[in-house]
Amino acid sequence: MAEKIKPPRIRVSRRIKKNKVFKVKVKFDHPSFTGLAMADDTTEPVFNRAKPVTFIRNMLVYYGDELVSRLSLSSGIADDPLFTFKLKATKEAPVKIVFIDNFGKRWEASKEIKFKG
Amino acid sequence: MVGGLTIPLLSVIPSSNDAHGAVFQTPKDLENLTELERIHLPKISLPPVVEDGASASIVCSVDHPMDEDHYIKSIQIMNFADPIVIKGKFFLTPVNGEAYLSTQIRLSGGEGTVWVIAECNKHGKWAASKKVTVAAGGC
Amino acid sequence: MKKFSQIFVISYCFSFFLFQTIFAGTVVDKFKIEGIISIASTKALQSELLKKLDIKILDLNLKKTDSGWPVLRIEYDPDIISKNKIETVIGEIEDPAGHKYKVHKGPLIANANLIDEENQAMTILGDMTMDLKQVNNPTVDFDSSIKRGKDVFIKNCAKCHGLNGNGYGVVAHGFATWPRQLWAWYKADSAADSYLYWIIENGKSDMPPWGLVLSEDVRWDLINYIKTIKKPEEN
Repeated sequence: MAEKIKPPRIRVSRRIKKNKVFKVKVKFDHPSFTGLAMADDTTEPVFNRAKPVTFIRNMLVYYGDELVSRLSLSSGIADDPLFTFKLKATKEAPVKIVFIDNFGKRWEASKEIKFKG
Repeated sequence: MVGGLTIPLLSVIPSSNDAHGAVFQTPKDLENLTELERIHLPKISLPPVVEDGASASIVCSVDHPMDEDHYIKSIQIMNFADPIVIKGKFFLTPVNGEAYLSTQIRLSGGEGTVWVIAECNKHGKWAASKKVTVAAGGC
Repeated sequence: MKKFSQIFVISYCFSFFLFQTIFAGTVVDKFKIEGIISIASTKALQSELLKKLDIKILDLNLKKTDSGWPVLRIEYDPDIISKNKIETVIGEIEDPAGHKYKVHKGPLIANANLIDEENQAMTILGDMTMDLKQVNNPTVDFDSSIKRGKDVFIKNCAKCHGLNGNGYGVVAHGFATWPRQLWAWYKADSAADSYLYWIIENGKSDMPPWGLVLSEDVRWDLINYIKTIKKPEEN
């Protein structure tokens, strides 16, 4: 299943001005799943393990060569998530986003940041 | 499909401040926030009723400067009633410009409370929460 | 008296022989089951298995298992049925929703180790350092505190740390880090209190900050209970 997962897609604000904050949206179609099922609600804990788990473990954000953010994740995130965060346009450089899942598989995408206006 | 997702800002003031212990700071009076409280308290945008717990949209932000020497270090999202309590923890740097994160989380069915902790590099951890009812659990 | 002893020995040997004849060669095996997604699933699996195979199902333990996976205990005669056959038949059975069950194989935690890039990133943007403070355990009545602590543990902690504290709780697979085995603090003295208090209150890595929702008294109950968790072999 994991080999069919496509790389993430990045979208940024259309008009990025120097030293202004802009939005970065990244969509990653990943089948994150807790692997849990509620088979019995009479005792604690109410969930049992039903399937193997798969989830995104880390999202790393690089701006130019610099690591600027890290999102540590668990299987409590929805599948095919869309993450939105902000960056300050300090330089014209690529924004690179790396995803690593619980099997150690790695995906990346990048978007060139150019100032307009 | 990237973009096009709109999330109404249904709540900017947390609904609960009953955190135990002094390590997590919460406002003394939600109606009259001090300046320190205002810039540190996380804002949580999450619908009060979530139809599909497999993908509940949440927006977390903090009205805090992101200066080189004074900034929000992390934003953490949790629900202690869920089997997977911690959804994620976003580590930030001043380059982020604003402490903001939007994502979709899994919530189990019934009533729960989503907690968000923002950590300032100078003023410690600040907690806010929002009650939520989930129609169909998504864990 | 001598005659009585002879009768006793003969009776004993006969009973032993009879027992061996009836239960000769039966073994009990445990099968970790994937695919139990509803209460109906448990019934469907067991009834279909009994229809297809001449076996005895001892029990199906959904959550209180050492691995976190549901465990089906089956008694069977290996001269008549092989373990592989049982696994194959389990894999052929469908639950009421049409999903097939499977015998779980592989390591208890299948998550891969962190890659170098993640380790480097976590060094730069990682969890805070622990700011341990000296704390004093205020508990007076330890017996009742431990009892309360056990209830809190089962409700909040067992899902990750496992009911016996082995770290293989039901949801332990869903994190980047493996939950700690708790018997490290069995009979720990007061020197461990600062660490336990801090970690329960603040959390670290995938451990949530329970200080948000559990009061100080409850956290001490938990600490007192954790110090009673033995490694299973020592039980």
